[in-house]
This record gives sequence, C-alpha cells and structure tokens, in this order.
Amino acid sequence: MANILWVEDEADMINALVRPLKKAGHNIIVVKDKKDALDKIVDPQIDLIILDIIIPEGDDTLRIEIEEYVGISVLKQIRKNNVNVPVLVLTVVNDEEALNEIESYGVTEILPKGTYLPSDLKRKVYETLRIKE
Amino acid sequence: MPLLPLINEALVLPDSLIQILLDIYTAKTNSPAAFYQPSTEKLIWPTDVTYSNLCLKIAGKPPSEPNTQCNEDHLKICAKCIAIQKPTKQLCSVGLWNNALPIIIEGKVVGVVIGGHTRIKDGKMNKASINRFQEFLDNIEIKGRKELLNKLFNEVPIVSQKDFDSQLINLRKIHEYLYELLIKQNNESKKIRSSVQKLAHEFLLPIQAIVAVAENLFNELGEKEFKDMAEDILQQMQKLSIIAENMRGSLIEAKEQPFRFSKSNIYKCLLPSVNLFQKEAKKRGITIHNPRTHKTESFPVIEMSEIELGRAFRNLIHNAIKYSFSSTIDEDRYYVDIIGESIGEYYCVSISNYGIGILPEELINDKIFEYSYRGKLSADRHRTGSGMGLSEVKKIIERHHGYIEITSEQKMKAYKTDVKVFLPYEQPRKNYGG
Repeated sequence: MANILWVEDEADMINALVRPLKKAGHNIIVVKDKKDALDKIVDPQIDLIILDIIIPEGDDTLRIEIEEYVGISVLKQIRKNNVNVPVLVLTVVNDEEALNEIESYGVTEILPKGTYLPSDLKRKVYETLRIKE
Repeated sequence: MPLLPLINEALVLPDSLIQILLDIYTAKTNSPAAFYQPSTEKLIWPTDVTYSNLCLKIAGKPPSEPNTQCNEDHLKICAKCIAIQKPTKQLCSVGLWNNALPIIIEGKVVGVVIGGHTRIKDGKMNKASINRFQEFLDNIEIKGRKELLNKLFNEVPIVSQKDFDSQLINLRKIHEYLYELLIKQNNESKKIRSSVQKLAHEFLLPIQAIVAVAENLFNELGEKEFKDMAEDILQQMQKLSIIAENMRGSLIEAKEQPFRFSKSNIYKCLLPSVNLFQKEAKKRGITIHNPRTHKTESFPVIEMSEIELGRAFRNLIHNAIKYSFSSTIDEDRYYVDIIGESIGEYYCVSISNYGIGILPEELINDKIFEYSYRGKLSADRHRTGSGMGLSEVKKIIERHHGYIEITSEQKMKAYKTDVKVFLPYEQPRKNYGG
C-alpha cells in the first residue's frame, strides 16, 4: 500500500476527495502548512505527494498573496532536497505564470481543484504509482 | 455594463488625462511632447500644438495624425527606447532631435514620453542634424519643394545643448507624473486581481467538497433513487463551477502567458462535457447526439489546454441545450449535434442546435461575444445566463490560435444555430518559451 503525503490546509473540508484511496487501504498523511510539509517531504517512506499551492507558512505569518504561492516554495524545496517523489499538484490557481513555474519543477501533473472527482484522483494516483486496480 | 470592471493585465491611462499633462508641457516649453503606450500601440499627442512649418509642410496635415512621417518617426524612436529600456536621444528623419524616456514598471516598458523636435546648435549635434536632413532632401525630386523645405529647415528654432537639456528636465517631470499614475494603477489592479482570485478560491473550495461527497455517494449508494439524487447534486455543482470559472476568467483579462498545451484527443475533451449535460438535456426533452466525425475518420489528437478547451466546450454544449426547443416524446426533431471535420489547416468542431437563435445584427461585429451581452431572443426570464460564457469561449479559442464562427438561421419555428470552433492541430512554436 502506498504512503501518500497530502499537503492541504483544507483537508478536513475536502477529505471526501481521498476517500476512495483510503478505502483501498492507502495511507494518507495530511499536513496543513509549509512548515510541516518540509518536515515530511524528506521521509523516505513517502511514495507520492499531493500538493496544494495556496497553503499557510505554518509560522502564523500566512497571508494568501497571489504573487507568492507558498506551495511553490515547498516544490522548490522538494527539488532542492533532490527528493524524487512524484508530485501531483491539486490547486484552484489558474494563473498561467504560476502554473508554468509549477510545471518547471517537473511535477507529474497539475489537477484543477473545483470539480475534481475522487475517482479521477484515485485513477491518477494509480497511474503515477503504476498500481493496478 | 459589467458588474465589476475588467481587470486588464496591461496598464492603460485614459487619453484625456495624458493629453492634459502633455498640454501643460507644451504650454510651458512651446514644443510638443507625445506619449506612447505599448499596450494600445498608440501615440498620444497634446490637443493644442503649434508645429514647426517644416513638419507641417512635410506631413501635409497635422504631423500628429497617423501615417505621417512625424508620427512614424516617433513610433520608431519609441520602439528603440522600448528595446533598449533606456532613455535615448534620436534624430527624426528630417534631422530634428528628440528625447525618449521609457517608463519601466516591474521590468517592462509600459510607456514612453517623447519630446524635442528641435535642432541643437552645438557642433557635432548640428552636423548630424544637417546630414540627416540632406539625406531626406536627396529623396525629393522636385527642385522647388527641395528649396522650400530647406528654407523651412533653417527656420526651425535652434537651441543650445544646455537649453535642450533643460527641456529634458520638463520632460522628466511629465515622465514622473505618468510613472506615479501608472504605478498607482498597477497596485490597484493587483489588489483587485488578488481579491478575485481569493473569491474564486472561496467559491471553488466548497464546490470541490460537495462534488467529492456527491461522487462518493453516487458510487457507494445502492438505491437508484439516492444514486440519482447524488448524480443531480454532482452535475449541478459542476455547472456552478463553470459559472465560477467564467466569472474569474471574465473579471481577469487573460495574461499574455500562453496556455500550457499538451497533445490530446478532441473526443476526450468533448465527451465529459456531453456526459455532464446528458441528464439535464433528457429532462428538457432534448437529445444530445454523441460527438461524431463528418466522414469515417476518427477524432484527431491536437495540441490543446485540455482544461481550458474543456471549459469552452462545456459552455457551448450547455448553451446549445439551454436554448434548444424540447421535442415531444418519441420525436427527435430538436437535437444537439456535435460534428468534427478537418478543414484545411484547422480541425473544426461544430455544435448545432434547434431553438432560440441569434439575430443577424448580433452576429455582425461579434456583438454576441461581448462581455455581459445576452442575445435579444434569449435574454428572457425563463433562461438565465450571465452573458460571460461566449465571451470566455472566444477568449479560450483565440488563445489556442483558433477562431469561432456562428450562424443562426430560422427554419420554420426554430432557429438552427451552428457554432463552429476552428482549432489548429499544433500551436506555434514561439509559444513554448525557453
């Protein structure tokens, strides 16, 4: 079973998204801010990261500003630490400049948050990790 | 009128405001200054200017008018200033000196102030001026005109380098005012942009929560009645998200950044949109035929932004259903047809329906694509709409380097409306960046 790190500050609100993955027995580790994400991304047990881009810093200084998406700095750190874990970005951000930057960090795919279906997320995770149903 | 102002990435100041500043400069220096805005590709001149007789004679009309030598020269100088992103002193093609000062915000030239139109008496500067004028005269064949222009050139005020530089001080003042105005506009635009993004975030998050729960219910519930209810919730929320996305897209003008294109099959992009509205169509007594190709060929793979193009198709298919007449039971008179066909360099997807149409005058000059415009025949209380959908669709298709055509013809009681989306198979290479 896969260990999936889900970096999502609103995980409680949208936890239904990962229900099919949980039901299939995968381990979903939720972190809600950059600080906790940075602690977890180096964990060698993590098989895949699902990353939101608008997240808090985790040191009580969070302000969502469109010029600076905190999730992008997590991505930078992932690449800086040479962590080779696949990353699926799940975000409402549609700012092309930001999306191009996200893509430049070699993420597996950027998924649009809004009407993304739990079954599609499960399928995408399985495709990425080459898990057969 | 739009509910909120469109937030344009490009910084644009109103012409009238710029003209007031230029008029003040002109009154003080007795020499015209102009302002170029790259976003509008327009050169703005003061309202009340006395041009030199030389410039007037060469232009044959006020030199500030488009296509005059003077206007073209100014555009060239501005282009150079934008390219080097530094102040530049340049001769125009008749040998008069001009200063061009760029206004740079966040590393981008958003305007150029240009002024001068004079000769400078100091040695090298004057020589260069005379040489340039001679080059200009060499291309004039009529002797009498040559002599006249030469006389007018000698009448152009000639100032010392010091006086020319003091003119630059005044030009810098105009430059500072315009810079301040543009910076303020830039900051305001950023604030509104940020608010709209946050608003979209606030909207889409609960939608995502409900969609996820609804799909889980649909997949996990056994009873058909509950399954149907879960499916209804799911579809209605998906429609709500299209409206939220349209609002965000309409309020924030598209950036110049290209979409992130990848190769994908058009059918893969069309089918989810058809499935999404299948149930609603059935309830309204409208059949949506599955997407098919004109001949025996299959749908091709093209370069697209699957997310954005999908949004465009969802808008178009939803419109086709919304404005269709219902068929009676066992009748297939009114249906939505989606047909693909290769036409020259483009792949054309045509979405047609029978029902409420679009008037010819709304199709002329693309009125129907205007933001917040709703068709005269469709803007009734029974069919809600924001007038954002088609304007968004056009924007998305054009960012795919394609185009959209609509025809609407009355056939008996119903109009047959045909929306054709033309998409290139590949996107121009230059859009892929470094």
